[in-house]
Amino acid sequence: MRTHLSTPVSKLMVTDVATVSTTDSLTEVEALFDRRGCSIAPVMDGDRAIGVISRTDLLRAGRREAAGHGGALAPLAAKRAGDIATRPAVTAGPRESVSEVATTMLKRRIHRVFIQTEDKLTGVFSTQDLLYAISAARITTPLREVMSKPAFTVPLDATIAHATDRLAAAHVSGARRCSPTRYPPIPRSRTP
Amino acid sequence: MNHALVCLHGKAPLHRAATLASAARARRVLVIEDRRVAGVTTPHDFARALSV
Repeated sequence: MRTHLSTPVSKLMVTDVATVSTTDSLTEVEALFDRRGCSIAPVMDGDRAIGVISRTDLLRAGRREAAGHGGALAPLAAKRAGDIATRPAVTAGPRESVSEVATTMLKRRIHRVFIQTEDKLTGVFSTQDLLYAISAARITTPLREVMSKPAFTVPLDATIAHATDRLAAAHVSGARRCSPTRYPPIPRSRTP
Repeated sequence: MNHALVCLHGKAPLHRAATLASAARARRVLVIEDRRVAGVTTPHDFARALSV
């Protein structure tokens, strides 16, 4: 299928969405994440997504507090998905264009938008689908015109604490670890 | 630390970055110019390129 930026998001969305109910326990939510290999799910009230819950929410609820040090996992708090869900879920209609949904993702600073048809969840459009749309539309804008800069890096021998401090100071959520003298090589096949 | 890296030159077209990032299940692409990290293309940069 030829993809244009005006393509309805319903043409590119994923329809098999892992969901949880407001009454599901956090243990059940974690089991779903493990089983489906996902890290976020819409929280459903019937057919309608009323919020989202993520692994980060589970961490905040008190899980895995000792995991990083080899200790036993702390039990999940005795709460339900509906108790800690982030509300509302950011949604779009199936006829909205890829461009419109990309704008929503940008403005809300999120990585996925749930698609609802007449108040019923019918799919999800994520960063992976965004990448597919860009690839299919053959957008030729040079990377240097859209990239964020500078890229914050930490030395190879930096401690995790140093890296997390750097992330917090820069207000970013990811870091690349690079040698001060050797930067990642660019394979010849990947240069323009 | 995740060792999977997608690196491209700043002149590379966005669609190429998207294709490689998608194949690698990566969300970010390092942009290299003059053998230095010049920047990084994030999911929000990709979204900005498509936004209205």
